[in-house]
Amino acid sequence: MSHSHVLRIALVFGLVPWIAPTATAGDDVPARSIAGQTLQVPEEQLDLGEVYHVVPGPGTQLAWTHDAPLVRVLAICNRAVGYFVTPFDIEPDKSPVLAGALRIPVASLKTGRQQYDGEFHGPRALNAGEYPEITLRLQETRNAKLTADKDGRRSFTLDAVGELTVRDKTIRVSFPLQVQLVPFTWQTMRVDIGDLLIVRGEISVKTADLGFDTTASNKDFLAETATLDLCLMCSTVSPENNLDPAIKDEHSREQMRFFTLLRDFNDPEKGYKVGRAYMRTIWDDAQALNRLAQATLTEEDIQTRDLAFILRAARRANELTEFKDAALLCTLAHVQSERGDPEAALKWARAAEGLLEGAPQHVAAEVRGALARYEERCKHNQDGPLPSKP
Amino acid sequence: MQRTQVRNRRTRTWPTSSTHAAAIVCLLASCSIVETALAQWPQWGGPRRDFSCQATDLADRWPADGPHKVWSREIGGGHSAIIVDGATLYTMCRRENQDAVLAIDTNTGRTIWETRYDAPTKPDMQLDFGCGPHATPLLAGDRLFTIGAMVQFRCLDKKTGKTLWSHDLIDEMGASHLGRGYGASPIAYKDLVIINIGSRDTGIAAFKQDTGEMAWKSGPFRGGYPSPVLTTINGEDHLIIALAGARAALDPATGEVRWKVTVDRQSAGIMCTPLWIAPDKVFFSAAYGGGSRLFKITAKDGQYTADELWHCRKMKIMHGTAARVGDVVFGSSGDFGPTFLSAVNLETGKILWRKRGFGKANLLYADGKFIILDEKGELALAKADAEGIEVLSQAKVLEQRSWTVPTLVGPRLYLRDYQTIMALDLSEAANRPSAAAAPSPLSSGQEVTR
Repeated sequence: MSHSHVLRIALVFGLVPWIAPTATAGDDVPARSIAGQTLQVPEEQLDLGEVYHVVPGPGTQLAWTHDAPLVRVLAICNRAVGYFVTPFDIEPDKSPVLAGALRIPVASLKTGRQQYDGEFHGPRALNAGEYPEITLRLQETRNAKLTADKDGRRSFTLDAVGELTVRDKTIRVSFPLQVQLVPFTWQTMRVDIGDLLIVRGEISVKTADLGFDTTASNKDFLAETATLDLCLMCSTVSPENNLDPAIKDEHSREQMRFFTLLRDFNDPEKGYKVGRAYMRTIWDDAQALNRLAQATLTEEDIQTRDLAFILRAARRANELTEFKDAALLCTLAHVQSERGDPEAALKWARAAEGLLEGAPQHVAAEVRGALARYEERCKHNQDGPLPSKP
Repeated sequence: MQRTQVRNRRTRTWPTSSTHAAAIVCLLASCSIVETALAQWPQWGGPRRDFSCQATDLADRWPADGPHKVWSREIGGGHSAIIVDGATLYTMCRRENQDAVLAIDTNTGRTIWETRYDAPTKPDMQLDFGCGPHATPLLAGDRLFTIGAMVQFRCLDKKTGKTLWSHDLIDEMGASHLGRGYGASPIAYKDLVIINIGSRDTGIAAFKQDTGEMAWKSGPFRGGYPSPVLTTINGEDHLIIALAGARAALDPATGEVRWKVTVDRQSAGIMCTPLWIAPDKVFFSAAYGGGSRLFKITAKDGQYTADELWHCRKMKIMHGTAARVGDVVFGSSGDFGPTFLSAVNLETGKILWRKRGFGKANLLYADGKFIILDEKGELALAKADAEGIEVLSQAKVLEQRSWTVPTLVGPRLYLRDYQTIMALDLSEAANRPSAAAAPSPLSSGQEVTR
């Protein structure tokens, strides 16, 4: 798509003032937890039955589309958080969904092109700075029909009514839902742990109702309707439930909070502030520091990686272990490589290789693979320009 | 138990006359012997292996910081439960590459003896939760039987800790350590001690208590964490076992199968001890999608059959205990996700109520109340029935991985987590308030979550 198309889309989002809200945006949608990866389900809803938490990550798919004659905007998000409540005893003739809510970080809606994203999230469009989330709250479900019941798995179709809040505009939406309840088995564990609920639905909204410019001059660039296509993987196990006995719960929560801000909301200022505070609390814990450095270095969808921050954590982790832990040295080598210092990366990777005796096989393979890459890069460095990053 | 009350009352009205005092000392001494004989906790699950025991006069309300602490001390890692014989308790812990069996003075917490032996871990174990010991010692006469996570089976002299005989059951029989370490506790039957093996050709085996010689071995069953229980059906003894692939009963004298039900893979991860529901039913519960099942055992023409009466997926007890009162089984249900104290109707298999607020928990039933210890170290006293649960008192007494079911002898509760072992006095007298426990957020009336 041409640059002019990008600008045109920006104009579509920007030309029209947003309609005054009919309700305070997202007020009725429960707040996020401190770590930010679940919502605080109200007590009265907890008592209704089973709570299924939306699992952010690859299993969560949510697409915003508006399909105009000359442009199609398709933004994908996999960082939505929320929950659905089902009755404790599911009955064929009763709705399998009693309550639900979603919070979708605007910054995590990705079109695949940074220029588009900038406009889409910017102050003239969804305005992530001021309205960082799109929210959805289920108000009612009806016409539930059991469509399949086999091997403990049950599928339903139903009609849902809810409130969708985009920017400062809240509109009532009606949409069909398909839900499938999948009890835990060793097979489903490959997808996620816990009993699963898969929620699919498609919400169509008039773009005019959301304040987009629908005048004739924009017709080729903005469809009359936009759709929010949901395919949400939900589990009875909260994504904040840390199952690794080696990781303290409070460490897990703080690191999650850091990533919620940095990755989901693309807010490096607040994110690294939380990250630095967290780093201080784990300053004497080599493994926690290494986890922090490693994740900040490799977690997908982080747009601003503060390499000085990562290096500080990785270096301290190695100081604490006196540079004698291969996995930690490998992280240090990785961050040096990302900083553009392949010689330092090579030095630490070689040190790591020297400590591989008795190391788990996957650690050894990782260290040797990294070492080979850094050697290659150093060789190119001596021979001429560096190849692009691995 | 009534004698315990007598002792308490007399203590409060101690006579001034030395003659009277001497007489009462004698009386108390004799009471103590009687109490010991009645009150000891010789095995996993208590005197009847069903996590219930006789007790009276437990205080409903505790001081804000918990019940009166008699003593507390560090202990090595492990989840082995505590057995009590008079003034001595026994348990196991881990010391680096060794298993340790400890005899501890119940009144002071001081070690009477400690016997250690090398028990190196195996390369194919998953030890992210430590390497036990998980199983609980068994006391039979003067002998103490123990099994560590690496399936070293030992018989010790209870007074000295001297090893009388031992078997390395991985080496000798190919016993299964189940990945995370062996966990089923031994059970005594007449002059035998019976244990899970879980090897390629032997499911269960019995050994002579005095010599350690094998008395019988069953055919193959996969290993399992649940400890076996003994009962009598139709005038015949049954050893009820719950293993990865089967729920079954054996003749405890010969190892012959009396009845057997094969279970699916989802029910294979069972850890909860089976609960015998007299006169003819058995309750099993498994997490990880297994759920709870009630079987009715029927005898006909000398054969036994087990028929499933119901299956409730929602009651999924992981490594906690199940306790039964009347037609209701209570337990802590949950695995990876949230855990609920739950009650299930034995007649229908329906969940009667659920309560949030506790982590995975072990339950004991005594004096018409439940003693609840969750994995975060929250100890609670509660009244529960088919209608709901009322938490009477609650306090955080332990810290980390409190996975061990407590032991109650008289009013004294022995409990441990992965670091600490302690004795608490739950009696009314010891907890008579200067400061009764303020109602906790969990104890305000009948907070029942369905």
